[in-house]
Amino acid sequence: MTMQNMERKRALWVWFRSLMLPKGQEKLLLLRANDDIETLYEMLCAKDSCIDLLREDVKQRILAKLHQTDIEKANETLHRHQIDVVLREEADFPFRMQQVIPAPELLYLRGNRDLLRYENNLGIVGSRKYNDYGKQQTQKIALQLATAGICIVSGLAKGIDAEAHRTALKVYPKGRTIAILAGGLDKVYPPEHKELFAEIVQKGLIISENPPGYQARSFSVPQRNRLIAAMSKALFVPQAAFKSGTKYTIDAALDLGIDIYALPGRIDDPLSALPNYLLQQGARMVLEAQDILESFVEISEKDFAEISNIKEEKTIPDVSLTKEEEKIVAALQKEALSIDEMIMKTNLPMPLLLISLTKLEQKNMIHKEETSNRFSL
Amino acid sequence: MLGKVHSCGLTGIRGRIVVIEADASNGLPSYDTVGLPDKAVTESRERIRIALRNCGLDLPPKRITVNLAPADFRKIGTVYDLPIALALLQATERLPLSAMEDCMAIGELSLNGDLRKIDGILPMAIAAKENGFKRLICPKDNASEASFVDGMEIIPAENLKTLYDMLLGERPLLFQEKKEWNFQRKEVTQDFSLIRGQFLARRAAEIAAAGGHNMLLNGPPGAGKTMIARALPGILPDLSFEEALEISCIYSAAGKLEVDGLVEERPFRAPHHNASLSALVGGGSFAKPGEISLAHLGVLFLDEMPEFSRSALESLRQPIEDGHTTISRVRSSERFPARFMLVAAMNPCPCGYYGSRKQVCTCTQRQIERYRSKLSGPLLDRIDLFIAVEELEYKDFYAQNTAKPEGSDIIRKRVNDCRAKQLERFSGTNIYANAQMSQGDIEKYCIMNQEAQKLLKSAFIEKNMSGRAHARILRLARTIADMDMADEIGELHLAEALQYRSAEALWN
Repeated sequence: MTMQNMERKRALWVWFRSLMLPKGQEKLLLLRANDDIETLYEMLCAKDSCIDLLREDVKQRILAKLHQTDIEKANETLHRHQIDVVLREEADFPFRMQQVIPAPELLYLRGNRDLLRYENNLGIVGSRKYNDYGKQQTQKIALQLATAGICIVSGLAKGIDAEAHRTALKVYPKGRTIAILAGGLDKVYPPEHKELFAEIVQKGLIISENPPGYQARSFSVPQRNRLIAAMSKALFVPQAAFKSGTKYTIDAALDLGIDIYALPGRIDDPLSALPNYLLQQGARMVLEAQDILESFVEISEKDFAEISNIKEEKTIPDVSLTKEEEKIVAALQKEALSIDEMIMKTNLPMPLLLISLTKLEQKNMIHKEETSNRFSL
Repeated sequence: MLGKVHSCGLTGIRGRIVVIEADASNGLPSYDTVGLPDKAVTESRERIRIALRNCGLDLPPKRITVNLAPADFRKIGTVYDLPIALALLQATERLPLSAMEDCMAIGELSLNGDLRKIDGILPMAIAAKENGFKRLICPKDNASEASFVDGMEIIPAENLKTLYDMLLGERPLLFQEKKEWNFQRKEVTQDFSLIRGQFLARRAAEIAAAGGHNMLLNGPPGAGKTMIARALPGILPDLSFEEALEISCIYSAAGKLEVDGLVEERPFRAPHHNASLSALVGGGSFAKPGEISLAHLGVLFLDEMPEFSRSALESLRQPIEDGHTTISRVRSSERFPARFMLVAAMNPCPCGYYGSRKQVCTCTQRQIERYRSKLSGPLLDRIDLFIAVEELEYKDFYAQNTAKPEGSDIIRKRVNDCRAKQLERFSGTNIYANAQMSQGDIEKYCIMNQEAQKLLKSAFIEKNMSGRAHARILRLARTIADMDMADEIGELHLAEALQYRSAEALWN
């Protein structure tokens, strides 16, 4: 296929999608044209009989936008938002995306297009709500894998998703990340992630199957989740409630035959309900980052061994501790404690305990958990 | 003859002198009240006419005009009944003008001539004293309240007839005996010895009470937030006479003084969360003090803080900073004192169990964010102590090895000592506690030693503090140092103060 030919096809697809026809009506037209967009455009221009199959309002909408300038306009909108497009028949369309059902005709892109052909992708999906355990483990595992050259794929949602993206960006340029969105790429959803979005555009890739201006609705999120699965070689679920959108990603992953990994959690913790259930059903258990490497044969164990020691940098603890501080550290050894619980355990007077806590924080020995009132080592 | 009697009205919580002139001239019998009277004042004509007749002092059929001056000040209420009646007696030449010299009269009449209790006698008596009056005639039920104003002779009046006889000298003049005011703490129902566990919250409550700091209690339902807040009045510092007078003035003007005399303890106001903005801050077409003014020099407790309307909460910001609130209406603009200690309680999320170990939080992340966003940053910025209140375990109730918790008496003693140190420091200024220090005061009084400065510097950078957060830490550290009877803020005082901000992270 010539370059020019492809350009024309892209332009027509962009125009066709910008009409935002109902999915069923769109399918109807494509079937008549044997899925060829150029044929379809000619048929529409010739007012072929296929157009009479459509709903009256849809028909009018198409007929009003058949002009060449409409096509140019649709493509200009794309350029204005710096959105790129990849068609299914193009060489760099991700291989596994062709297998998902229904396969997208085209993908809208922002950022580094080269990442489309990257094979070593790990999907990390989870709930918006997480606790310190989920956050820390996601960060730790994602950091090691991203440094080893695995691209982190997720959905730019709050919670686990954002944590996974952020961790991968931390080790850029080694770290690669792809975000797959449900809505059009002209808007950032959730709006709180404006900065994260911009950073991924710069250092990673953002994908959507929907045209700019498309508003994500409740059903578009499960649809998006199937693309996350399709884009990944393996899927990792650190934390998610039993009933959550993550289930759709897992269903899609099972259909595609993708390996599923899960982080074990406390059985009474609702945020670990889904990963624990997955483990029971035969998902692979992740105790350390290496476990996930099973699915990524290209990344040799040796490469990984070098980076497996990487942890979040922490200053070497100051060894000189007062008697009270030692007491507190000893009490925290077993589990995270709140201030009142520490009082019960250490029998220190309140002012002294508080003072020691501040001192220990200064020495980087302990920290306060973000999602509870407890302190941990 | 022209009758002239002085009386007093209220603007906000301050008395304003009103001169009442009455004239009875020949002509067609009539009765007019001029000088911007409201309905209750105009209606006083019938009460006065009949009360006078029932006392055997019938009004003659003359052309009667009553003028209330200054004419641009709206006279409301029934306080002018008695002075108008006395002015009419002068106008009809049955009472000499000299009888009412240097004397102010206030009171509502009933039809048989008895005098009824009125609101706001205390600020009126203070205004009388400030304007050089020597005597005040007021209803008998108000007399003991008025008698707290030094250097005033209070004449308690029971009935118009007996008062008339006294003024004519036919009966001996009776004066109200001055009541002595002694600070008496009422039995507190909620004692700190009844509160089990909650070590952090106890210490925080003590610091808050000592320095007048604002406090936010955050915890799951049933953990004891409200219990701690209700126990707080028991450890507040003792009330001084000047403070009691200030509080009583507000309550008197609002008609909410429940005791005979002055208030005896610091107010504890706990408005329900459906309170409107004007109920909280004050308002009405003739401004009345709201909950924040009624909590002046005491505690304003907002239970379930995020349930309050946003506008009501935001309206607290300016009074917290200034210690007073100004209510502007078309006809008037009143200023009410509102120097209260804010104590708020809230759950960490709508269901209440976020971060709990015992129960599962069922809220979505968005619900939690929406709930917390009810409290704006600027409002949270004005709170000094963020305390996470924990659910109790069974062992907390029946712990064998721990001593019985300290009672309110012991804690109060320490609070009083600490407050005394502050009063000494701030003598001659208009503030009374560390929490009210301005930026200038902080620089003057919050002197840190070297180690403390070093600690503050590293904490400031690490915790990414705002300028206001920095000032708050220093105020808190000042109070902690005062409890330690230290003149300089040491490293340890600062280290403790830093911990009371740690729960704040839950909001970021």
